[in-house]
Amino acid sequence: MTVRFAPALAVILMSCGFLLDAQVKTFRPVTEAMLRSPAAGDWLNWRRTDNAWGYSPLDQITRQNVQQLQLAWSWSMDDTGSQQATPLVYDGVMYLPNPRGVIQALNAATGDLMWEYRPGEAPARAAAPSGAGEQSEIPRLSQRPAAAGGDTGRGIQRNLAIFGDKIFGTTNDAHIVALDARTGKLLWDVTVADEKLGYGYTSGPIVVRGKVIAGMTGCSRYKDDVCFISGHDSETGKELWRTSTVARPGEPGGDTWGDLALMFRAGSDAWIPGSYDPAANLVYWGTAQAKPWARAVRGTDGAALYTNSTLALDPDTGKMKWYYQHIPGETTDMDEVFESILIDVGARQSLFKMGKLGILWQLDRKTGAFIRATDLGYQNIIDVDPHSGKVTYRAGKIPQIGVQLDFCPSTAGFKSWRAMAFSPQTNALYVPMNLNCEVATFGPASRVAGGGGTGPVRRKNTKHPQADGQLGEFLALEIATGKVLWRHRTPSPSNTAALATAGGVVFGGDWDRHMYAYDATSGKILWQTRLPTSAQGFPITYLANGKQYVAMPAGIGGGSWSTLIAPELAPEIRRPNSGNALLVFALPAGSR
Amino acid sequence: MSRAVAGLAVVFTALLGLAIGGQEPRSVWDGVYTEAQAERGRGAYAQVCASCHADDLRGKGTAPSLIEESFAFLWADMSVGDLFERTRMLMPSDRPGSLPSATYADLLAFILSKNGFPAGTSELGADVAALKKILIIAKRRP
Repeated sequence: MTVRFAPALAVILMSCGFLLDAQVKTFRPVTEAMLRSPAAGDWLNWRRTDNAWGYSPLDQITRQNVQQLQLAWSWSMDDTGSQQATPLVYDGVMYLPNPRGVIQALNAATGDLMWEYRPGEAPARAAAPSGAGEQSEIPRLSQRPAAAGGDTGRGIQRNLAIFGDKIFGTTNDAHIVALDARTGKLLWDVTVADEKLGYGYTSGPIVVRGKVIAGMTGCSRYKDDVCFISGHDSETGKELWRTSTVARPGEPGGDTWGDLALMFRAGSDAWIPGSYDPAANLVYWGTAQAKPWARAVRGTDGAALYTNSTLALDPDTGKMKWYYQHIPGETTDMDEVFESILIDVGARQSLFKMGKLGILWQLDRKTGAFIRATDLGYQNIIDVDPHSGKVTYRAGKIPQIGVQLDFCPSTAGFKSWRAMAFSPQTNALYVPMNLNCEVATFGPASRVAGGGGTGPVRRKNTKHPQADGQLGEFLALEIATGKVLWRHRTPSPSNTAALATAGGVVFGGDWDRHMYAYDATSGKILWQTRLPTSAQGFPITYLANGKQYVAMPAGIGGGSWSTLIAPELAPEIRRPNSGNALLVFALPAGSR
Repeated sequence: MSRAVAGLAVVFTALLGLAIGGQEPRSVWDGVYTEAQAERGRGAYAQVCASCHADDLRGKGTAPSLIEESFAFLWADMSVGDLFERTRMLMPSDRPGSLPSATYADLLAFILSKNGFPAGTSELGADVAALKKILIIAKRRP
């Protein structure tokens, strides 16, 4: 039997030869156990591990040899949208989210393309000339129509997820897609919400216990629906649960929106991926402010649950186990939506979070109880009671319609999507910051279906009085004491997430094209280089063929956080208006 | 002598004031763009602006509404030149300043049309100094 079938099998294999070249040949399905405890050389989750540390145990690149880093390979990315990518790496293959839904699998040692998924023709861009080289044989999959009008965040695709034999992504027109990790073939595509109502994703999902969990954004316009986080079957995409991030009229907490009808309860976008504690079996997800931004514009002084909160959800049912609202009734666009970093401090199983105000919150992650708030001292909007966490607005910092006020930070925030990293070696968080203030006058929003939004703001960004004219800062904060270990100021804003490594080196980058390698303990810059355009996105490190690489995304776009501050406050600093790319660095062969 | 010079200066200043005061300032109610231009602007808007500001111009995410109360609040009593400069400096948000000046003018024509300001017989130009002389007035004067 075996002998008779062998020639036929050989013919089949030969005829599929080019196709096999375009596949990930030896793919082992990713298990739940792998996701929860990734191999040292892999980067399997958004911040590598469920606790969102952004830390890698790799230590080939050290304080002593990082000066020898050199470019190993680079890869131009889709250049028609905004770039804030996090690559995933599994078993020597990199899965790269490009803007506007494009996903690629690359050989992580060389950058060679293995497959590409392209959801539709990118707008306003000529087709690439077809070369005679190997890439012309690689299938360019175009299996679902491009978004018609939905293009939330100019196509930002912050991250992907991997589980089983699938890669999961979200789209700017509110779909979740699953691709075959071997070939890039579309396996399922579910419409989660109506993009015509404004819905869309900018961050990708996480996968927990076979559920693909994603947080919706684009929830700012008035409609008879509210923002949510949903869980889907990873095999089929079927929606298993949906948890509103807004308390509806008549529900517990519903009265925190005053008497506003459902239609006028907007915002609470869940635009940053969550974290997961397998021991507690809880997923932690942040929510953004209420919309419109100002209380006077949205028409309620209430706390507006569950905006600007951290939510603890059961990943199997979506049931909310606890919530902690960081800034009740937030009123100047100060998001607290960002990453939840899970760290045990002594016996305290804690969750750390920092929002735009530069206040580091420490919560008990089992109960949601407040433990501590550490104010970096740059903001001038609120006071936090050190014992209860209760927030009080300072005099004159609650906007009235048409009345000018000033505050720090600007609505761009000191801290934003640029995630912090935690190193267990130094017990410090590394925080990329953007230092500035704002003079603002808030205006009215249309109180009709389809209206709402953030509300208009006449604004002027200003430099921060404590920043010596600098716009960026990268700082190390000891978590046990809240003490600043070191800070490095830069003329332009910090513009990437932080990456911490066991080699004692921390990586980051700024708007002005710098990439830095810092000594995690002293803050000394050990190595730096310049990139084609702004460092922008989430740097990672991984192993391919046993060698450590550091990948840094460069790119443009990203809304107000990246395009307003530097051109307004430092017009002398210029960057190219193109150049989305990934740059990958490694030590030269033979170096130690 | 010096008194005569001073007197002349006073007369001159008064005449100048009259000349300036006598010139009726233009506003967005005076037909400062053409329908054809707004139509071109509609096409450009769909390509480069709608992704953030939405097909109906009411905004999405952090992008503000470009019509109704929002537009009036942001731009009333400023000039079309101010709007032109700011748009060219900051938009589109991922590639500020990347469009031809004439396209920015077409986009402004489209936005003015969507805010109910009337079309006229001559196109909106891209000369900032000239555009600064066109005021944005939210409500038509009686």
